[in-house]
Amino acid sequence: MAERSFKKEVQHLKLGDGAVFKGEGILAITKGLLQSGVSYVGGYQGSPISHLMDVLADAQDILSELGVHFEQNGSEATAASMLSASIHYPLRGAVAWKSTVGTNVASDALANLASSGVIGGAMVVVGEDYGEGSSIMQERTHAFAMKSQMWLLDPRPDLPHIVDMIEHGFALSEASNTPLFLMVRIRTCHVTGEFVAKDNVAPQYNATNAVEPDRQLDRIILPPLIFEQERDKVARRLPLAIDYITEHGLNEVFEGESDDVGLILQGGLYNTVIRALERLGLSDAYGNSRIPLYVMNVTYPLIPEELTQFCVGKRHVLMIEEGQPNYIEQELSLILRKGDVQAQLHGKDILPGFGEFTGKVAFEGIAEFLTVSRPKAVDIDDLASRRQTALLASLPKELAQVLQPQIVARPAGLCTGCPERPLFSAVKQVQETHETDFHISADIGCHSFATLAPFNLGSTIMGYGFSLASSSAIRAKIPHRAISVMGDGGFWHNGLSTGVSSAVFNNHDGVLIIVDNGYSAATGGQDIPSFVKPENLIASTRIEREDNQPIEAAVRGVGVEWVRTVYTYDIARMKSTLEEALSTDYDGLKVIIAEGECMLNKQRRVKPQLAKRINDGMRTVRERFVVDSETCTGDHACIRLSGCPSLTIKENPDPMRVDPVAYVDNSCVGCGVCGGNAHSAVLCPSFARAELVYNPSGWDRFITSLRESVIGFLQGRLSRQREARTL
Amino acid sequence: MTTSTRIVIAALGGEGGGVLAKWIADMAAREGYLSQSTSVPGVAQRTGATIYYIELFPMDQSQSAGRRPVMSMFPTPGDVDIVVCSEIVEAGRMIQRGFVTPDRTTLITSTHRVYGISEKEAMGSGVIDKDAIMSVARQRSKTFIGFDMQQTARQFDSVINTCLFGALAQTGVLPFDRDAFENTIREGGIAVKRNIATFGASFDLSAREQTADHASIVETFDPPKTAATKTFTLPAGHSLEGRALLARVAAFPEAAQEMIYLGINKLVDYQDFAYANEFLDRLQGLGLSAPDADPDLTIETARYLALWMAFEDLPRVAQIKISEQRFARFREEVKAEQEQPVQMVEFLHPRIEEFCGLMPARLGRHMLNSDGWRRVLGLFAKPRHLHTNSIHGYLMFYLLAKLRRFRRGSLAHQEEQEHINAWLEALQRAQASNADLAREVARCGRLVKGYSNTRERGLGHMYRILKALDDGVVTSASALAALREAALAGEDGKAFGKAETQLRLEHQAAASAQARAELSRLSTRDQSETDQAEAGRLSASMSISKLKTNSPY
Repeated sequence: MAERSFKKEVQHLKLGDGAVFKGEGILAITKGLLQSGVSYVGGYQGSPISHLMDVLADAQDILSELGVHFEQNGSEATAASMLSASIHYPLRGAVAWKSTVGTNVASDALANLASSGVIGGAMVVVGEDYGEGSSIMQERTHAFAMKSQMWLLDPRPDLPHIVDMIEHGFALSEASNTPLFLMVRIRTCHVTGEFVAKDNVAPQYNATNAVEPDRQLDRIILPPLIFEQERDKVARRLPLAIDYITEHGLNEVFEGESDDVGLILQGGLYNTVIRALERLGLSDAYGNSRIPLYVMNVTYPLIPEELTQFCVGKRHVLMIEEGQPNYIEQELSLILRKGDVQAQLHGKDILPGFGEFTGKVAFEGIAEFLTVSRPKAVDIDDLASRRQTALLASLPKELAQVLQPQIVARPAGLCTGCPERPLFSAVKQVQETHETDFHISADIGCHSFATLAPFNLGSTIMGYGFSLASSSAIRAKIPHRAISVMGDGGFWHNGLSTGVSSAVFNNHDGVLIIVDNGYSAATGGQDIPSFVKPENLIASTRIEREDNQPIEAAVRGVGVEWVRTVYTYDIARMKSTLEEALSTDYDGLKVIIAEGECMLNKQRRVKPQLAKRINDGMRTVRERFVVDSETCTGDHACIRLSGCPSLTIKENPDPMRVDPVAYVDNSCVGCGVCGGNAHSAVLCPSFARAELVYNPSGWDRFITSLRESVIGFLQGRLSRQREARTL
Repeated sequence: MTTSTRIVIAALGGEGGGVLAKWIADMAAREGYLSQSTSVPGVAQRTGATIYYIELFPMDQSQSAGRRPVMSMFPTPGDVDIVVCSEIVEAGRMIQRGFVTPDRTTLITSTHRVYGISEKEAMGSGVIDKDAIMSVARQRSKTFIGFDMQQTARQFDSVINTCLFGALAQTGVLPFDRDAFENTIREGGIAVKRNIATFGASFDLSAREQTADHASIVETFDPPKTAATKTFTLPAGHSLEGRALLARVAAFPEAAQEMIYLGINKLVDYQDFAYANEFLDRLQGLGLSAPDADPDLTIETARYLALWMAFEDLPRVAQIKISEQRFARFREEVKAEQEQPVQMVEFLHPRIEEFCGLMPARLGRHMLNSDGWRRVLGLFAKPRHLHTNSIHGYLMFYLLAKLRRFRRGSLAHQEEQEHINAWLEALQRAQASNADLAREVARCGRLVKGYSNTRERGLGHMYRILKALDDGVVTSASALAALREAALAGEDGKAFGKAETQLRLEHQAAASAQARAELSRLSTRDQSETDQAEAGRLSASMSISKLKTNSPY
C-alpha cells in the first residue's frame, strides 16, 4: 500500500489512438512504454522515480491484460539483471530507478548487459535526483553511459516529446543492439502536461505465446567472447546508433537570425534556456529564439557531423551542460578541433562548474555569453539593461541582513507519531548514561534523519543497506560496541548479504538495529518482503502474511544467534535491550529488530476506520497528548528527545516566565512517545494523555457524572479556600 | 508580447501545497488557460520546506499562434508574479531567494508560525522575530496580504490552503472571478461546505485591508503588541492581609510593581500570605524598595525570586493538576465536545528524592542516606499513570496538595531556601560593586527551572557561575551574560564548560601578567633555588594559558 495511490490516474493508460492524455510526467512515461509494446517492466523505488513504481504497481491489471510482465524488484541490481531477457530475444523491456545511486547498485549487471548487447530494446528509465531537494550525492549518470557504452536520452521536458523519445529509444536500442538510459530530471517526473495518445501495443510474446529458447554464444560474458564484444561495441554498434539518431533527427536544430553564434544544450535544459532567452528579449513565449539552438535529446553518443555542421560559420558557441565533469564539452572540443571548426567554444568558463542549472544560472550564463560574443542582430544595450534589471531582483543588503537571522532552517525530520522516534529517544537516553558520544553507522531511510537535530545520532551514511558493513573497521577503534542502524528496506535491498552474513562470518562484536516499520517508508510506503498485515504489526500479536519473509528468520538463517524484537514505543524496554546488547558477554553480532508500523501508513489506514466507527455510533476512544502549561517550565528537554512536529512551543501563559512552554498541537496522533519519554528520562510531570470517548456508553455516562459530582464538590472547596487567600 | 503568469507556492511538507497547486491548475483549465506545474517531492516532504511552481498561459493566444508555449521548470528570481506561502518564515525564505520583487510580485502569506527545530529545542527561547519578516515582506512586495490564516481556518475547521485560495481570489491578480474559485472548491468535492465558508471569510478579511488607505499594502490582522506602553495600576485589596501586602508593594518603584504584584499573587496561591511577605522582605533586604533602586534589577530579581520560591514540589504539582481552571483548559486544548467524557491520564515519575523532599528535613535527610528507606521508597518511585479525573486519582492528588501545610518544614523546602539564599547573597555582593553585574546575577535565576536532572543541571550551572563570581573569574556584566547564555546553549553542558574554562584561563593569564612583573623583579635579584622553581612554575602556567586562549573557540 503505497503512500500515494494512482488507481484513478492509471485508467488514462488505457487511452487509445487520438485521445488526449493529461497527467504527470511519470504517467506519460508509463503510457509511452505501453505504446512501445514493452514486454516486461520492473525497477526499484526512490525519488523521483518512486511514483513510476507506484503507477506500475497500481496498473497491474492493465499490464497483465496486455501481457506485460511486472516485477517490483528487490534492488536496482535485480532490475538490471532482469534486462537480460532482451539479450537473446526480441523482447522489449524497461526498468526504472533513482540515479545515480540506483545505477551504482545496478552497475555490475548493467556493464555485462552492455557488453553482451541486446536484440530486444532495453531501456533504463533513470530519475536523476540532482539539485534542489536531492537526497543523494551529486553525480552524473553520463559517466556510466560513457564507460559501459549505453546510450543516454535526455529529452526536452515536454510530454509529447518524451513519449516520442521512448518509442524512438526502443527502436534505437534494437537498431544498435545496445541498452540505453532515458534520463528524466526530478522536476520532469512531476511536470504536468498533455499529449495525444496512441493505442497500447501488446507484446508479441507472453506466457501463452512463449519464445523459443535460444542462445547465441557470442553474447555470453566469457573470454574470449568479451574481446569481440568490445570490438563490436566500437566498430559496429556505435556507428549504427549514430546513423539511427541522424536519420530520425532525434537531436533538434532551431534556427535563429543571429547565426554567428549558437547554443548547444542538453534536451532536459531546453525550457530553462528558452525562459532565459525570453527574459533577455531574444525569444517569444513559444520558443522562437533569435539565437540558433542545437538541442541534444541524445547526450550520448554525440553526433560529430551534426555538431560540426551546426558550428561551422559561427564565431562563438556555448555548450550548456549541467553537472560535472563537463564530458560533453570535452568531447565537443575534440570534435571541433578534429573537424577544424574555428568557432570559439565556451562552456564551464562562463557557466558554473557545478550545481543545478536553475533559471538564475541559465539567465546569467547566457547573458554573459551574449555579452562576450556580441551576436549580430542583438541589441547589446538592451541586453545590458535587462541584465541590470534582473540584478535588482536580489535583496538589498540591509534588508538581507534583517531577514537572514529570521529564516530558520527546516531540516527533514520524522513525521508526527513516527515509530522510529521512540527508538532514537531511547538511543539518545542510553548515550547520555555513557561516558562518550556514540559513533553510529547510519543508513539510507527515514531513520537517517536521526543524524539531524534533535537526535544528532549517526556519523556516516555509506549507502542503502550498508550501515553494518560500514562499521566493520571502526568497530575495533571506538570506545563502545559498534552500533549500526538499518531500515527494513535497506536490509532487504542489500543489508542481509553485504552486512549481516558478512558480519557473522567475521565475528562482528557489535549491535545492529533494524528498523522494521512494515514498508519501504522513505520512498513512499512501498511493500517489502517482510510486509505483514499492518494491523498485526505489533511484536506481541504478530500474525504473519502467508508469504511473509520475517526479518528475524532471515538473520537467524544466516547465523545470527542473539536477536531481540522490541516494540519501539516501549522506550524503557528498548533502552534495557540496547544496554544489554552493549554490555552482554556474548561476542557475536547482536541484532535488535525495532518494530512499529509506519505512522503515515497507519494513519491512512486507521483514520477512515475511526471516522466510520464514530459515525456509526460505536463507542470509540481517541487518544492524544497534552502538555500542562502551568507545570511546564519551558526548558524543552522533551523536545530535545523527540522532535515530533506536533510537539511544539507556544508563548508562556505565565507573564513572569520568559521562555516559551511546550505545547502539543492538534495534529497529535497519540502515539505516546511524549509520555514514554517523560517516564523513561524522568523529565517532568507536565505530560498527560487525553482519552476522548465518542458515543459514550451508559456506564461511561454514569461514571462520568459520578466523578463530576465528587470532583466538583472538592473543586468547589478548593476554590473557596483559594478565595480566602486572594489579595 | 504575452508571457505566462508565474506562481510559486511555498509550503511545509504534508501541508497540502500540492492540493492548492492542483486547484489553481484545474481552475485555469476550466477558464481556458494552459498550465504547467512542477514540484520537488522527496525528503523535503518529511517536515521540510518545499515549493510548487505553476505557470498559466491563455489558451486562445496559443491557438492563434499555432504553437504551445514553452514553460519553465523553475521559478527565477525577479520573474514571479504571485507567491503564496502557508507560513511566515516560508514567505521570508521566498523573499530571500529573490522570488518576491516590488515591481510585480503579489505576496500572500499566513502569518502564523510553525516553529523550526532549532527554535523548539533551545533550552531558553530560540524563537525568531516574525515582525522583522513582515516588515521586509511589505517593503519587497507589490501587494501584500498577510494574516493568521491558521486561526481563520480553525474557526471553520478547514485548512490554510482554503484561506490562501480566498486571499488569492481577492487580489484579482489572476484573471478569474470569485465564482471560478468557488467552483473549483466545489468540484474538488471535499469538505465543500466548510471550505467555501473559509474561502469566503478569507476573501472578506483580505478585502477589508485592501480598502484601507495604504493603497496596495495590506496590513496584518495580528493584534498589535501590547505590554510595552501599557501602564499598570495596583488593584485594591479584598482582604486585610491582601491590603497589607499591596501596601508594601506600593512602596516599590512604580516600574517594578507589576512584577512584584504577580509574584505575591503566585506565592499566596502557592503557600500563604506570610510566604508572600517573606518574598517582599527578601526584596527589601536587597534595598530594592528604595526610591532610587534600579527598576530593571528589581523586576528581574522579583521575577526569578518568586518563581524560585514557588518551585514545583509534589504538593505544588498536585495543586495545579486538580484545579478547576486546569480541567477547563485541558478540555479546551483537546477540543473535547460538550458533555464528551474525557479521561485525563498523567505521566508522572517521582523519584526517591521527591518523596524524601516531602518529609520533615531531618527525617528526609536520613531517609535519603538510608539504603533500607531507599529500597522501600523505590517501590513507589517509578513511572506512574494517574487518572486525575477518576475519584481515587483525584483524591490522591487532593491529599498530596494538602501537604502544602507542612511544606515549610520539608527537606525540599529547606534545600531550596538555601539555594535561593546563596543566589541572593551573590546578588548582594554584586550590587555592592557594579549595578550591571547585579542585574546579570539576577537574570541567572532563569537557569533554575524544570524537574529532576534538568533542574539539577541548571542549579549546578548556577553554582558554578556563583563560584566564578566568587573567585573573581567573572567581573564584568557582559562576561556573566555570556556565561549564562552558554549555560542555555546546550544540554550536554559543553558550551558552558568551554566558556567557563576560557574565562578561568583568561583570569589565569591576567594573574600571570602580574606574575611576569613579579618574575622580572625576581630575576634582578640573586636567585635562590626556590625562586627559580617559582619562576619556572609561573612561566609554564603562562605558556599554557597563552596556548589555550589562542584556541579557536
